[in-house]
Parts: sequence; C-alpha cells; structure tokens
Amino acid sequence: MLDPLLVRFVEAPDLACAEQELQDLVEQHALPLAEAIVARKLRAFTPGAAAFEPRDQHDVVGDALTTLVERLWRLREGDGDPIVNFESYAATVVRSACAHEIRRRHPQRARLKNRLRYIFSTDRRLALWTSGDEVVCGRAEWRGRPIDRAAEQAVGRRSIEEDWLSMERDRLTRAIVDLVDGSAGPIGFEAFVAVAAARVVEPRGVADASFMASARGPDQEQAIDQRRFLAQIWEEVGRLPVRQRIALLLNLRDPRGSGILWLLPIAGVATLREVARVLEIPPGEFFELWRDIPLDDAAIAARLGCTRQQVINLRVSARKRLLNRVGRVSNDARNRAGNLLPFSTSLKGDV
Amino acid sequence: MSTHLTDVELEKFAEGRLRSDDLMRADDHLAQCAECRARGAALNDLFRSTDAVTSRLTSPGMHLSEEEIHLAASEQLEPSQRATLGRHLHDCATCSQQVDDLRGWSRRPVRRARPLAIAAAILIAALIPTVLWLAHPTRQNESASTAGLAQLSPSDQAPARASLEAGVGRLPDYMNDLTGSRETLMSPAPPTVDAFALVSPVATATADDRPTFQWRPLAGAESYVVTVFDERSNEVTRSAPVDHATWTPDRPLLRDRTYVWQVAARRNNRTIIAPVAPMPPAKFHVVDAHTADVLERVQSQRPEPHLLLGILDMNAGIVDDAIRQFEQVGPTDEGVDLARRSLDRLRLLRTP
Repeated sequence: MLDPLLVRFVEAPDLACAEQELQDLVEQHALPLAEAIVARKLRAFTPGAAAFEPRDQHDVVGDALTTLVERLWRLREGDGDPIVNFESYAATVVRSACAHEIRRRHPQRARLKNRLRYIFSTDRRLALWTSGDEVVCGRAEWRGRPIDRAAEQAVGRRSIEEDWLSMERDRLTRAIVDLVDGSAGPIGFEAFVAVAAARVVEPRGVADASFMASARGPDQEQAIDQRRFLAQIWEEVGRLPVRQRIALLLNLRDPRGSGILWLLPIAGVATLREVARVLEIPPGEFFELWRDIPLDDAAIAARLGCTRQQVINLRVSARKRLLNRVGRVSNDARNRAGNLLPFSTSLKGDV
Repeated sequence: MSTHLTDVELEKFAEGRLRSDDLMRADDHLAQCAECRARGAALNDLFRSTDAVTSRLTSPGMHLSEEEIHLAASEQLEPSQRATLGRHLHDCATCSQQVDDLRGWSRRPVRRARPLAIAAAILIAALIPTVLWLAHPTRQNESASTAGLAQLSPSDQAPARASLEAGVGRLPDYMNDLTGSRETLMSPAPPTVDAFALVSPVATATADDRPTFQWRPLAGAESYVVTVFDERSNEVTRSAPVDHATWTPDRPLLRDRTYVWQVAARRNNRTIIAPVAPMPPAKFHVVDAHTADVLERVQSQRPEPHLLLGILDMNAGIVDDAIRQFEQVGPTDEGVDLARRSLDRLRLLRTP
C-alpha cells in the first residue's frame, strides 16, 4: 500500500503538478530528515584525520536526494514496489548514502568492519543483534541484551597494538573473542569497530575505492575505449536542456570532491571554451568561475534562480536521460563502448 | 603553437589553480597539442578520473548495506535481491571492492601454527596419497573438463574461475529481464483454442546472431509471419509468410541486445498472434561478439571441455547449451558438484 504522503505526487494529473508535489515532499519531509541524519552520522564518525566538512554533508544530502527523487519518478511511472512509508524509505536512502560516503573515505576501516561483522555473525561463540536502533555485539549468550555502557567504556579504553586488518580469519577471531571476553557485557558494534580499527591506516589523503581499483593503469586499448565512452557521454550532455547541463556539470566532481571538468580538454573530448559554450556561460566568466567549480547546489540554485530542490530535480532528469541514452555504465560496457563518436573538432592530434 | 605547458601548469590546470588568463592560454594550447594532453593525462591520472566520473554520471542508486555486503560475499543473497544488487555491484566500484575483499578474506585458508615435527609427519603422510591422486584418472578428467581455460585471456578466465571457486555457475544480469518474462509465461494462463506456444529462443541468450525461431504449429494454420522487435518495440526484422513452424532470419541481428519476438499465424482469414496476453513477450538476448568468439574457440576443442563450456554458456545466459554441457560432466569429474548445482539452477528456469 502506498504511503498517503505520496498519493498526490503519484496521481498528479500532469508533469507540472507532479513536480510541485515532489518539491513539497522533498522540502517538507525528505530534506530536513536527510540533513539531520547526515549531520548526525558524519559528525559521529570522526576517526582520524579525514573528518567530514559541511561541504561533504551537502554533497551526501545531494546524492541521497538525487537517489530518492529518481526512485520517486520511477514510482510515478509504475516501476517498482509501492513505498509504504515514505519517511522510513527516505531515511534508508540517506543512511545508505552516508554509509557509502564513509566507506569511500575510509575503505580500510570499512573492510575491517565487514570482517568483524562476518566473524560476529558466523562464530558460534559470538553474536550480533539489534537493541532499539543500535547494533550490539558480544558473547552469544548475551544476545538480546541492551548495550552495557560501562562495559563499552571499559572496552573503549583498551589499546590495540596491532593492525587488525592484517590478520587472517583465525587470528582476528581470537582477537575479537579476547576483547569480548574482557568486557563485562554487550557493546555497541560501532564502538567495538572504533576500538578495533585503532591501528588501521588509510591510504594517503582521501581514499576512494574507484581510484584504488585501477592502480595498475590502463592499457592503450582500454584508454582509447574509455575516451570514446567519455566522448559519447559528452555528446549526450550537449543534447540536454541547458539548465540540466548546468545542474549536472557545475556540480560534477571526482570521488575526492574535486572539480573534474579538466578531464574533458585533457582527454581531447572538449576544450574549456566548448564547455563554456555548452553551459551558455561567456568564456571570460567561465574562466573566472573555474576556481570555484564544483559549485554546491545552493550556488547553482542562485545562478539558475531556482530552489536547491529544483537543482536536484534538474540533475536527476539529466542523469536519467544519460542513463537511457548511454546505458548503464559498467567496466565492461565502458571497455567496449560500441559507437565510435567523433571527438571535438577543435582538438588536434592524438593523446 | 604556443610554448608547451610545464608539469606544474598541467597540475594546476586540473586543480583549478590557474589564473583565468593562464587558464585560457592553457586551454588554447591543449586544444592544439597532443603531447601536452598526453602529459596532462599521465600527471593527473586521467584514466581513473574518467572512470570515476562516468560512474558518477550514470551512478547506480542505493548502495549495499553492511548486511548485504556480508550476504553477497557469502553468496547468500535471495534470488530477488541478486539481480538488483548484482547490477549495483557491477556498476559501483566502492561496493564491489568491499564485497570482493570480504569474499577473498573469508575464503582464505586458515593457517595454523604447528610444531615442525607434526608438520613433517603430516607432509610425509600426505605425500603418498597425493602422488596417487595425481596419477588417478579422475585427475585427468578434471583437467580435460576445463581444458582451454588457461588459454583464455585473464579477463575471460576471471568469471569462469569465479564460478569454479563459488562451486556454481553464474547467470548474467540480463537474465533477470529474460527470465522474468519466462516466469510469467509459466504462470497459469487461460487456455484458449487458438493459442500456440513459442518454443525457442525464449528466456535465454543465444550465441548465434541468426537464431532459428521455432514455435509449436497451430492446427490448420496456412502461414506464419515472425516479427522481431528491439526492447523499445521498434521492429527489427520480419519474415515473409512461411508455412512451417520455423524461421531463420537472412541477416544477423545486432549483438549484445535483447529482443522480443512474436508469430502471427494466418488461418481462415484470421490472424492469431503468439504470445498473447496475459502471456508476456518472448525475449532473448544475442550475446556480444567477444563472448561468441570465446565460446566458439572453446567449443572447437576436442574432446569438448564440458564443465568449462557449461560455465561459459551459463555465464552468457545460453541456458539450453549450458544444461547440455553440464549434463555431460562425468560422475568422477571433480567438477560434478558444480555441474549438479548449476543444473539445479538452470532447470528451475526451464521448469513450469
């Protein structure tokens, strides 16, 4: 059964009404919820140097709302199961975006956490359960009990001398059992992970799995195919309505949050002048703007004279069209991007 | 052409730290100079950045929860989750690496410290059966049933090795779309006098880009016309009227595409279509050229490596061929359990 909150949006007679209903849904329900959850999740997570900044929070909220709005449009088109509880669903989407951001920024810690969860879930001496909103861990016979705050604090004072991520399964199991045995009661899983990850070292700066994935570098064929695929995407971007192009490109950033439009001229796909032309921004103004790119949604909204939520809508529409036209991206697909499209005519030579 | 850009300028260009007049000059120069573009690509890691951006532009919705990462790594996902999460893992490097890491780590053999003497005794005790095992005919069977695997490129080997490691063959993502229609086809449909069934290819992939379409004859039918559509319902090809229940298109279909087909039978000046509502469209997928080439090469080996072919066919979604290959895996072959588990999965797709 569909959440009554969504009925007006789903049954709106035309696109304009639907967009208005969606804006109300996002601004009145999803956005406050997303900002609260993201602030709490990211603030609570401060292991080591790479703490989250307000800008990160905006990005995560933007990503979560983009995912949510995409799902809502699909719902209106009759695609997918009905959303029974909108706020609960929105919270799930936001938590997923937060978890992803944390994993992306702290991949090693995330790996260790997965392993800890694996052992707590599979070793018969140990258990993982929920109590209220919290995930709790401890000895199997404690299952169902709430967190013992005193025990948790005591464990939090334990110092770990070794990098648990380097341990094989049996050693890690022994280390966990030792730590649990030394505690007087159930511990919050997040607190346990914080103790266990004390010696985990992330790669330099902000790490990202997709960056670490291809440390070996491409072969020539891969690089050529990839450039073709980028050219294909660029061509499709040029066919989007200009407001969608602006919402998409001015916010575009790499997994570390830096601007990424530089890759178009470096890849030989488009010059910055061409990017400016596609964005319908005078080149001089665009070159001045360059240092500030990527812009956050509030800045793009100010430029377009619309709300932040409308910027998200524009970006959702742009991505939807790109997905339809370019297809779902995967490494395979990228590596065998079928159509050979002409590169920018103003670029000479080959990379 | 202006003077080449320095490495520092190229780095500043990517970091957004050039002044606007320098930025303009750099942009103009890069438009003309392949050498500086190449250096800029190397300095700024163009490949990884492009990969990340193309992923982001077409990024795949909700990410896996920690529980889902655990289930995916342990191959315990429910069938209903498998397709959705599989698609996400295909597209999301962050999630897929977390799954791969956990899978690899959890399957790594547990090493236990043993006193040297015990280890030596175990080693000696193990030597004799090992020698016997190596000489045993079943060992030869095992290598015969996967012969040719090592000759494939690493990227072609990887999915087959993943299946060997998982102990069961895997189906491609697009099977969800194809078998979805199959499952509905098999749901109880009101029988009608005029109904006739499409036989092949339905809910499968095919390596042949000119597949032979087969259907059950309709009593009294004078002729049939086959029409093939793409996924957007555009007509791709259509047969001339044929008087028997089979047709092969003259021209190849585009590869790496999913198609829908139907047959219009003509009888007593009436046209009878199959499939007809409430039955869903009959779908099939023509595999990409590379997959077809790999399959052809492995199929040309003699004797046929049935286990490997079954795995490759299953990975490509060529259901009936995969079943046929797995059925031929010998009972003494070490891959017999994999074949049995894979057959269970494949037959589910073929069982009403």
